[in-house]
Amino acid sequence: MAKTKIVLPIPTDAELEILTVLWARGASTVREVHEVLVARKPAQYTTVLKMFQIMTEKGLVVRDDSERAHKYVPARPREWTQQQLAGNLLTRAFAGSAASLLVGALGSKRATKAELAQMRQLLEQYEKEAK
Amino acid sequence: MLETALAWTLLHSLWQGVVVGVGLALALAVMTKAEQRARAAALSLGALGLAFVVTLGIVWPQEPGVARVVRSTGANGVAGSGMVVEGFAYEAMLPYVVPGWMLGAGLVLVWRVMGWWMVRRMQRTGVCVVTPEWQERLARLRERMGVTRTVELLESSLAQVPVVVGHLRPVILMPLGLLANLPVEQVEAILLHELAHVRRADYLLGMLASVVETLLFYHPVVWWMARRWRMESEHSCDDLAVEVLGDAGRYAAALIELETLSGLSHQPAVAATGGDLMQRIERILAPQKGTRAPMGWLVSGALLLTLTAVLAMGQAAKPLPEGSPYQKWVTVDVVYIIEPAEKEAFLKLKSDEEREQFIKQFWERRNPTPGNPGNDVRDEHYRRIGYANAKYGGKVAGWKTDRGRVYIVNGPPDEIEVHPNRGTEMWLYRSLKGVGENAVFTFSDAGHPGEYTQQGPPTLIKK
Repeated sequence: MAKTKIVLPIPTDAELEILTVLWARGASTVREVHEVLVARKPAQYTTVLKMFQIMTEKGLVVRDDSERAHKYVPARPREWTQQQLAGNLLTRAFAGSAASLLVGALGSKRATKAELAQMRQLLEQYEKEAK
Repeated sequence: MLETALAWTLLHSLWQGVVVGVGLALALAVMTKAEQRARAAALSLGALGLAFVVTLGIVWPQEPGVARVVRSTGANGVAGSGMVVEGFAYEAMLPYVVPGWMLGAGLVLVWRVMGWWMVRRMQRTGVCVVTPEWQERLARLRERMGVTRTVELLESSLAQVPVVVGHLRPVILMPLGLLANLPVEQVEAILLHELAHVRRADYLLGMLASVVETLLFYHPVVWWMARRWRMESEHSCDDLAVEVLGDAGRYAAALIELETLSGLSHQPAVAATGGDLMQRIERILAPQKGTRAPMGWLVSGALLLTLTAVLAMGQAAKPLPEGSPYQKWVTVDVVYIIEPAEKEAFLKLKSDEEREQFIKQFWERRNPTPGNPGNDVRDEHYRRIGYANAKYGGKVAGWKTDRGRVYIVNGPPDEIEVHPNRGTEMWLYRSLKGVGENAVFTFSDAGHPGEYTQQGPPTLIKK
């Protein structure tokens, strides 16, 4: 029998925001998520509640009824969604352009395992000499 | 005319880039601190951007006639005068330079705007505020780094590595999970690096750099300068973070752990923009070399000043002071009869005495009776100007019109044929030096009644 692959829809911006809160804070109630959202910009509790209902229907979040307060968890870990979001051909084409504008602690090119090992060695040596 | 001016500006940018590039290379060799080098690179990029604008401003208002010469290859329209196409080899390229540049710059612009739009999206979507604990930690770190602007710290599902976005209201975006998975100490070390970027206004500088990179997208020296600036900026931020943190080892450890974590998420590698981590770690952990001449700043400052001076003098045509009679002489009186070489020589003169001398010799060369006080050629030339201004003047001064120009250069035609119903006027010259026998100029005012424009180069008819 063929393996069924569950294809989840790409979250809208509003849905992504809610998912982000869940990924960041872990399983949360609607009220808890609403509190976090409001810290950044105004949001009605009823709107957030409705969003959760829609997202449950879409399969983006799963409701955990085990405790008295109903908590929600994301259906997929964040890495999966990141893949989906980045997988778009258009975003890939311009990702380099975005990267060239961003400044940060790391560049976009990842170090190899060998390089990481070398760096750790350098660090060890440094700590030894510092003593 | 804008297109010609733009073409010349683009061509000038080639040597300007080389000159500033050499200056930067020298400065980098002399300077020891990453902060100084970053500043030198940024200034060099700015200098090239400025040079572009300034050159355009200088070249644009010059010689309205040159445009026509460049367009009509063969320059038969103005016989035997000074309006010969200038002898550069790359004259032939001029028609392609501007369209090519517009295409390239346009594509690069689209690419950059899309990237910028993605960056904006990162600031607004898929973000989550951090706990009050982290807000407090950030506030204390801000103080230590000397950042006065309010900085927001957010967790982001779109950011793959920690980044800073925005200048007026900067935001630090931490990829989800980092705050939970890294020791607090290490996160703080990373935040110090980000705050260093905020302190140095690197986001804003990066946007300005990308403006220059777009305008001069074709210039390899610009690519090098931009890359160098980004690299030295990263090093500067590392230096600042280590200084505030007080422990190079801890800082290096934080970067290594961050890199390890980021590597685990198997994100597709994109073209590198940040510094090479290996190089940075080596630099952070390397014992401080003895500082070379603290005069480094002074020396490179002097170098850059000399370069700017060279650039300013190197401009092909240094404009005479506005309103000076010599300015008028070269741009109005003799504009149609002066040779390019003569004009170049005249513009290089520094004193009015020299200019007077030049003008004397200019007319003497053309004097049919050399040595005699009277100069018929000069007298006739000015008579023609007067006539052209009186007869062909209208919205535009007579000497500037097509008929005026042809009259001034060639003198009165032997025959004139006017067709009022057709709106054309034809001038016949029986013999025109450099053109031939029975040369006919056709002027038409179709489309703009009263203003006669020349319809192409003169034709030779058989009589």
